[in-house]
Amino acid sequence: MTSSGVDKALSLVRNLPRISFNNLRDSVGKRKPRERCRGRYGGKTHGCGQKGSEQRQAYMRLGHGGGQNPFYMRFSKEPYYKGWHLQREYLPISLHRIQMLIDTGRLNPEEPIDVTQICNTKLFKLDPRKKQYGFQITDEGADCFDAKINLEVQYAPEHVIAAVEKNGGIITTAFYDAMSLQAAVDPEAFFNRGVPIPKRMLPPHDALVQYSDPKQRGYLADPDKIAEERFI
Amino acid sequence: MLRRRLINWISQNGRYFTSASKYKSSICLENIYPGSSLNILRSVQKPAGDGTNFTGYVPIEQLKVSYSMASGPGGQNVNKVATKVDVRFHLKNAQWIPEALKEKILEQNPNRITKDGYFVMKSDLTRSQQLNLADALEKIRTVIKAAAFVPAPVTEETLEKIRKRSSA
Repeated sequence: MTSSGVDKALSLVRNLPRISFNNLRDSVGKRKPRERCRGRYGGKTHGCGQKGSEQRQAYMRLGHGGGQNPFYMRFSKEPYYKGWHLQREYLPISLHRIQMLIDTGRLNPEEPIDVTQICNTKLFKLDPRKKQYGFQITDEGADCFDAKINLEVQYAPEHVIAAVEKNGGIITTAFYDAMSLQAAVDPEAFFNRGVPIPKRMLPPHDALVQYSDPKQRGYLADPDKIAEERFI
Repeated sequence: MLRRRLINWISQNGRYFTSASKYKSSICLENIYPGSSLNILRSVQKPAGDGTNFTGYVPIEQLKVSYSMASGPGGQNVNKVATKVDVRFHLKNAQWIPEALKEKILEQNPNRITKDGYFVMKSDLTRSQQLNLADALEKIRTVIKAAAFVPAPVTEETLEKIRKRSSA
């Protein structure tokens, strides 16, 4: 009866001790000892065939086609995924959306708005393991944006910077490496793990230029030059 | 952001961690830019050109900017969103343009001056109001710079060449 099988399983779960390495075992017959080449049927050529390069253990490399053009060399390379593992993704958020979040009370314009605050609204999911390195702000809704905020994101185009600073706000672009971002996205879970706070690494070479540029309000740029750009 | 929170917590429980907030790394902004004031909010003076040169600075407060609907295709967006920009200022009373250039601007751009003496510039280049405003200001700068342009004096060699060409 099916129920007795279920009952048996449940009673096992209740009564057996906790699984650990010292009470785990392979099922019977899973690992068989290797059969040695001895005796009448295992001897003579010992499983190596008759004469030829195979018995003489002079094998060709994997993929070699016996001299003809091998399969792996017949077709040209296409760089479809070249550098894909190095590409960084920034989730887009429009200025319109940020205005709405402030108006509905999900974001507090009195406090600095950065990755942690945006993730705390629980409306955006940022996964550093998927090579998502932060947020970027798009210029949809720039014309009717009128909140004075201190914003820190990972990328913002010129139009967005102009719109934020027109209302007297401050916008900065900052880089978070994957480990720091993991901590920033959910600080509570990070602190519960009890690991020390990681040092925030500098951006990679191709991003260093962007983050040192006062025109893009990079966090590594000279603040004097940023003040000049704000004036412009 | 995390560091700010940590520093706030430390400053509240300061007696345990007195040296933590004084730490400055070797790549902090003070070390990378030693001569900088490190203040992004410092006030910047507008470029003070002498009375004869136009520095390129256009004071937006002294311009009359109005927005309207643009023309052309675009459906609901072009019918409803006010992206066209109209910038006006009274040419004679504009203090940010050198006096000597005002005459030239008047003669080079007669079609842009209204009967009341207002210089008009419009723009509906992009889909965005602010970008159109930037475009209009850029066009104003172009007009003023064209008025300020003084061609280089003709050299004697060039005059000689022209004379030789015409005589031969």
